Amino acid sequence: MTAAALIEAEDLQPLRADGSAFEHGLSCRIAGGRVVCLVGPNGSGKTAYLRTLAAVDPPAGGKLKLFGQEASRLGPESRRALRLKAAYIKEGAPLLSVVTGLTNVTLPAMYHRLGHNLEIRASALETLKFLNYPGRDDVLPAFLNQHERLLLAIARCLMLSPELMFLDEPFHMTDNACRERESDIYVRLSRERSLAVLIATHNLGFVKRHADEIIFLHPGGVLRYANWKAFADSDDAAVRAFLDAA
Amino acid sequence: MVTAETQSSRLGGIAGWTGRRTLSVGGYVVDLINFLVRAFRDWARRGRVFNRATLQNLYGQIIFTGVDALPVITFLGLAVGLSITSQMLKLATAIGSESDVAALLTNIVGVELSSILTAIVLIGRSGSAIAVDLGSMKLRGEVEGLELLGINVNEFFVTPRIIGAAFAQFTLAVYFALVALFGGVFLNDLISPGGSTHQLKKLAEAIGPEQVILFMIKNLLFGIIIAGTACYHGLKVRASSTELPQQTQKAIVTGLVLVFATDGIIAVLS
Repeated sequence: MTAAALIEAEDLQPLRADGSAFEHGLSCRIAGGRVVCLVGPNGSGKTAYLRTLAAVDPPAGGKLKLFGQEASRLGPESRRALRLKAAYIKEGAPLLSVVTGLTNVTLPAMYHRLGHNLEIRASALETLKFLNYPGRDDVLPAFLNQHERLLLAIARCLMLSPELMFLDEPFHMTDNACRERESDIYVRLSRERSLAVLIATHNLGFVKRHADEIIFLHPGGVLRYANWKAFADSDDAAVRAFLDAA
Repeated sequence: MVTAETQSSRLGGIAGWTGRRTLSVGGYVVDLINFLVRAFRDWARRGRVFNRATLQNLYGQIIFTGVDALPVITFLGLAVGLSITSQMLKLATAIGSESDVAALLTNIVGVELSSILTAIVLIGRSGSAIAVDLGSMKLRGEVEGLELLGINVNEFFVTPRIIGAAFAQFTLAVYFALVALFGGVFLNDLISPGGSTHQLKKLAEAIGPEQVILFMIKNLLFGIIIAGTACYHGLKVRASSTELPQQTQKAIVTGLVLVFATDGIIAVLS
């Protein structure tokens, strides 16, 4: 039996910053418990496709269903409610700079009134433990390194119990040891918590080892591959050029 | 040679420029009002108007705008008390019309100067701080980071700041008026002893309920204008750090213009 799709995209075309549309549409069906990677050269539109798939930005064309609902028909309130189920972490994982790490984690759950203060705090500490958070949680984000900030950003999303997690360049500015720990988290989130994890990345090591599906974006089109082997064996000229350059 | 045609085109240019400026000012005011209405609508839409997350912002704003401004307001109040209140009380003693001078003092110092000077302090301190704070958060992607968690920016950032600033403006203006009027009386008593109890009584008698209501409305409006324009301009910052000083400066200037304009309109209407 096929698992229910959390994302159903049909010829989905993102918008460019100048208002024009990306030429090539993306069609895909993504279920929970999978790690899907968007890869491609710089400027191929990884962030734009990821944001459109997450319904953060409106599409220029095509159709998108998240959790079986047509994303384009959602009003502002439903769109906000959707963000609880479909977490999106921007590149650099920006946290609220004026409150401590722990408050950053508890704040969204408090805003959405997901429990009492003590319950939320206990749940936040448990989440940080799940993520093996190594840093201090009582200092402002400015005093933390990028790896710690990213973990706090993931934790504050997890506090809302999402089913989908979109991450834009999460391995940005972290060393190899941190990348390994982060990779492990994404795999655990998909395998243990059945989250669909969509990652736009340049980290081909992660893609090779953990991707259940690869979406390759390049100026000539959008290609999908079931796994790394299929991607690496592709005879498409753009894929070959990309892998050779990498 | 200046022909009739060039002269007419020059006049047309001036008229066109004036028209465009008027329209842009009108458009700005409409946009600002729309921003404020949306902020309060989003805030009121939720069942309970504040939650723990937004309450922290409200308390923070009241402490920063209100409590932290107390020393400067105290100093300004005493300065006004010394320079205006005590001088006018001396004048009252000289001309013998104590009731008229008390009415003048409550109107000029108690209602007008306290509101305007408090608003100017708040624009300089809190208006600029709010604009810089929100603008920096916007630049660093923190605002969008919260929106991506389903948090309504209006409800989380804007309304608590506006309500906090309005409350702070009102209480600070009351404090300013008390310090300026009663401080002036006591300072006057220090210089020329005697009669301070009598003067205090006259001042208290000169304050009517109409003045109190007007004072309240005016100061709450000033607070809304100061924080509203600051939030509006802070959130206008988009991608470049050069926008930050530009928007902050606009927040300060617009805040000043709107506060004085509102004061003028209220004075005419009352």
